[in-house]
Amino acid sequence: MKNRWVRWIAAILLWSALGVLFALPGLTSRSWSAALFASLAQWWFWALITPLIVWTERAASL
Amino acid sequence: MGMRILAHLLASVPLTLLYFYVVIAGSVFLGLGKWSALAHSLSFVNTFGLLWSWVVYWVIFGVIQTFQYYEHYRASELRLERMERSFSQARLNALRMQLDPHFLFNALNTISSQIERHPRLARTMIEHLGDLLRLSLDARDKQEIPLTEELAFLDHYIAIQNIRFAENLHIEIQVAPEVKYALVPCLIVQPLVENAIRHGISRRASGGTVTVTAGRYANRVEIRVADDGVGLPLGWTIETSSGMGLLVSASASWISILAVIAACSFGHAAEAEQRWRSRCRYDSQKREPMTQPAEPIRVLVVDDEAPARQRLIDMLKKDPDVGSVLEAASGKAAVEIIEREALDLVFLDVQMPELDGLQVVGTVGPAAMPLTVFVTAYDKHAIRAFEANALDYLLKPFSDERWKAALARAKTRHDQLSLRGFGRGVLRVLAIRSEAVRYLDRLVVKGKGTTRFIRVDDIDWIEGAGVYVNLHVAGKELLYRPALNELAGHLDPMRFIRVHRSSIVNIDSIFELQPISHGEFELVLKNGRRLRVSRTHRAHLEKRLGQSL
Repeated sequence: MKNRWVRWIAAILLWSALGVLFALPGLTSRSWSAALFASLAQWWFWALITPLIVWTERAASL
Repeated sequence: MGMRILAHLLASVPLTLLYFYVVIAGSVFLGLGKWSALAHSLSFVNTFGLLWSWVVYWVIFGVIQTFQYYEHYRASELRLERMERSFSQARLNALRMQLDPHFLFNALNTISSQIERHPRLARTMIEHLGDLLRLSLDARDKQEIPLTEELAFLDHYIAIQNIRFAENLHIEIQVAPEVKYALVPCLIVQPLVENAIRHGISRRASGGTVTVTAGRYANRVEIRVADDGVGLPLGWTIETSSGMGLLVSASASWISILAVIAACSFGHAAEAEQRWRSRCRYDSQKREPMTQPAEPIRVLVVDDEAPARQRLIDMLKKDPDVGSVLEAASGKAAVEIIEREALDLVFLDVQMPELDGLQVVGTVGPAAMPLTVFVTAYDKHAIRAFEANALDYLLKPFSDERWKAALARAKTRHDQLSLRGFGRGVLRVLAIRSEAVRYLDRLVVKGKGTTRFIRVDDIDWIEGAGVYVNLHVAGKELLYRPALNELAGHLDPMRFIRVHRSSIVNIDSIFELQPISHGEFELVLKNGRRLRVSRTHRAHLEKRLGQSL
């Protein structure tokens, strides 16, 4: 159970890090918070889609 | 792989579009974009965005693939490690199981030889052997034990070997205090010491010293077993040896031991066993009767182990037919004595230092050898022994019965070789014949749910009834399976006489004989029963009685 929570937190942190990384060019602008949030939202959405990609991978491997 | 890429090609398009539209919708809700962006989904910006999303999909796919390959690689590594571990354990177990049967048989033989002369020593050996076997069994399921326990096991082994080899074997053990409780692979030292004795010390007539040292070197325990015996043959390497090499290295537990076990080849073992077994069967079935030899037999006993030699000498001295008994502690000494003395019989140990039993025969020459009985703890030498014209083959530890059989065989053969033996040979043949025909003294008669044992002496007469016979016993009739002709061959002719084609009579049951006519008679049994004696069988009766009727 504990292991599962660790994995969830690690995944969120990973995708958040990617969001921050891709938001870096927009952080210098005045609307940096909007740019950061947009980037985070995009990458978190990729996080939601990733299980579907994994499912496709597993289904194709069978 | 092709199927998976195709599946992802098909899945990537709808998922990328889904992602793209959801992101734009989200942006609109957050006030970061406009709904018009959706209306121009094929504009340059949007097309770039779609392609970018599609690339991200494949990047994620790549990461998943990499992760999967990594997991697969780790699982393979783990499996390989487990296999290596089990292989090491299997080798360790195999090594541990090498509490050599040869040693056990020799130890048992030494015990057997000491029981009468030195019962206390024999008892001590039995105790050590018992402890050794017990520890061996206890350690079966352990992988590692403290070095002190390993050395305790070794102590029992050494105690037995010291009794066997007496002053010819010296063992020194030097263990550094800091490694006394270090964990070492279970039963790793004893096989090394055993091999040092077997391949190093026992092959040298003067014996030698085995040194066991254990100490800590850097981050590992080093156990060394060294002997000053005959040494390894020239050009020997572990790679080219036919033995079994073992390298146990576990850096994590700071143990590193190199052990070289030179195991003997067991080729043709099954054949040897078969030949040996058939020989034994021959011995048990055709044991020739003992006869008095013409002259006392001169015997030489050759064995490098004094207790084993002494046992043979003691047994030989008990036999009245045996004259002088000489002894030799080595193959070389045996050759000298055989060439010098006129011997009749040699009991020759196979495994001896410098010159083994078979080499003794080779040196003297099979034709010049006296009658030879090989004595050894291993039956793998059986074929070679019989090829060397061995008269017999005693497997240590041997029983008194087996010993007597071998000696009887030797005496018989010796007797056959002498001139006076010729006459006895004729008598022996007769004796064999008389002994070979053993008559029944009991008949096992199976009835309705019962099996009766009928004393042959109690049978009054036997009546043929086709493939059966009727046994007439004390007024009762019992059906018995063998036909009359077959049964007749197993009855003592001094007691039973055939009087008719279909009847056999117990002579003791006959009361009187009454003539009928034309040379025929009628027997009257004690129970009043009358039986006809045919003319054909009258002669048999007269011959048996030694008188005419």
